[in-house]
Amino acid sequence: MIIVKNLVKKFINGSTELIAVNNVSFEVQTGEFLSIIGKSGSGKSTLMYQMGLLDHPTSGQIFIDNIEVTKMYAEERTEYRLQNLGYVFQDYALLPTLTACENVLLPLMMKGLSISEAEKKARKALDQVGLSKKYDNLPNMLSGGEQQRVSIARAIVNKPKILFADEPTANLDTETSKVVLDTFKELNKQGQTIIMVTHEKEYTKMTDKVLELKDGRIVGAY
Amino acid sequence: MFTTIKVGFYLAIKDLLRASKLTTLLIIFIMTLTFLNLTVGRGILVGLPKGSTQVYDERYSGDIIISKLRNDSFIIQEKEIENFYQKIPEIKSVTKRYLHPVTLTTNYDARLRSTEVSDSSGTLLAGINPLEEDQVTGLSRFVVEGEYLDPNDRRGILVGASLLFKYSPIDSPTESTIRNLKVGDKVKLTVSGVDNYYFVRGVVRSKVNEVDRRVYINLDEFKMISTERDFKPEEISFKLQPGVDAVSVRGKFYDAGLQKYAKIQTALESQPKFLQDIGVTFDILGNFLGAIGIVVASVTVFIIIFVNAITRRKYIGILKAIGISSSAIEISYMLQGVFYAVLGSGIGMLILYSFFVPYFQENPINFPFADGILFAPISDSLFRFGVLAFSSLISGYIPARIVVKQKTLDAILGR
Repeated sequence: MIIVKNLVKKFINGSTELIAVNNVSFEVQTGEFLSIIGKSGSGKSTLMYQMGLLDHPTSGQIFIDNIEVTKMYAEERTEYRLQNLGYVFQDYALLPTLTACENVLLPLMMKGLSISEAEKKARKALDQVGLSKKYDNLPNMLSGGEQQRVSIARAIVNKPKILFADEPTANLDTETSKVVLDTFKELNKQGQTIIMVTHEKEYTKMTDKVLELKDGRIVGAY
Repeated sequence: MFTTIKVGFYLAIKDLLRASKLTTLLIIFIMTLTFLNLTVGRGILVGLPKGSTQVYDERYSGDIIISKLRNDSFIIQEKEIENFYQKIPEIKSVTKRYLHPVTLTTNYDARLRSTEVSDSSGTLLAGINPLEEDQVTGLSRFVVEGEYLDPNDRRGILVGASLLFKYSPIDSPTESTIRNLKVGDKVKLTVSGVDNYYFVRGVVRSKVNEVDRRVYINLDEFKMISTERDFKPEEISFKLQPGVDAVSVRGKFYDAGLQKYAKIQTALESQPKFLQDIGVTFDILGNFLGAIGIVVASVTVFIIIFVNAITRRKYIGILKAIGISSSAIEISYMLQGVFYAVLGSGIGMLILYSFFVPYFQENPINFPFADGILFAPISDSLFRFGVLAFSSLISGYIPARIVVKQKTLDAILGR
């Protein structure tokens, strides 16, 4: 379970202060599919980055399974991300010098698995997202949809507690977007907690809960 | 820690394998040049005094030299010393030199005017056994004009090149060189006021002053003209069997207490202090140049890794985001730096020992006081190899650390 309490994130640019997330509090249950929506600049991605331990909030607390993750130091956060969190980025964020399989097996190696064990699991994860024939392709040899599915395979291969997706379909066509979202739905059915940021309202239909943000504040939760 | 190193190694291998081949080759080429700059530049500089001490050892002193004590005219108790060294199996060959001050004069009978001064120079006459001398110092190899002394030739002499203006153009009030002397000329040797006449058979030039400022004559003839009543050598040079340590052999003389009768020195100990000083100075200069080379190499690796890391800032951010530790990322860049250094240095070593060292061995740089060699012992080169690898490790670490330390999200979003 995730508990977000009075979370604030401010950016200071010279003498200008911008409050991207303004005193936000909410909860996400284990196994829930939450979507965060809002217009561009509403603070939805910033909120997700704080929850995903990619950034540090200005104030407030985040608890994941009763552990206050906002108190963690940088290296602790990296270790926590490795063990418990998975990410899918808008631009896929694959490593260009690694093949699809190598991209996926890297977090497993970091967890201490041997290359052969990691490779076996990575292939399984790629099979799960329908990329059985693309193990050895470098990212530049894959389509946008395929790259995003590699990104999903990398995110789920460690069996994370929470999967974060930041506008995962923004760069994809409608058909490919559907494939990606179906993958998420399937993962959620298997009990995966998912937090997805999107600006497409229609995608919220498939999620359990929706948070709507405006100017860094929650303006709707349903 | 093992996992961190394993992941760092894995990332480094993948990066290197999939990097642009041309860029990789260029970086390795730069590292090869850097290594050669470290070893060849310094090696030639240090090789000058080393070459000088080497020729002193090979062409004059031998591995061990026994010479007269400061207050004696010659080596006293010569027989006792001879009886002793004849029993030392490590000694391969021996030569004795009997010395006497003489004046060498050319064109002594060709003065046109009574005011005209003949061409002469004060020097040392060395009575030698030509065969024994040749076995120890290879003197015959340094005959640059004419021929070497025949052991049965009583009328011939060899003249050191430093006595001739042609080879040593010195014209000072305290030191004079002979201008008109050719092989075959009849010259006058004045020994203790007595004139003796000989034919010049050859000119020797070994680049060792002690050799090149002497006149050589057969020992039998020397005995005839020497005015010394007690006929004994001033120098005995020894060549040892290959691989024998000169210090241990010198120790045997010391153990027998023979240092009471003569100065017993290894080649290194007998070298003039200025040669050793030059060696030390050039060594310092060489190390200074080497240090500059290391700094240049480190900066090169730093720039390469920094540019590499900064252009991959986003990917470093992604690595951190997916849980790869900072240490693993840093290790991957350090290993890449070491890879470039090791491969570049390895190729450099290959070029050094398969081309440069043999080339300079065959074609030494011709300096007036030495044959300039390339001084690059394997241990020195390996040390520089290690220093380069270590500096590359550090130079890889610093830029990687700078980039890795940046906030994960800023790196991913390119802020």
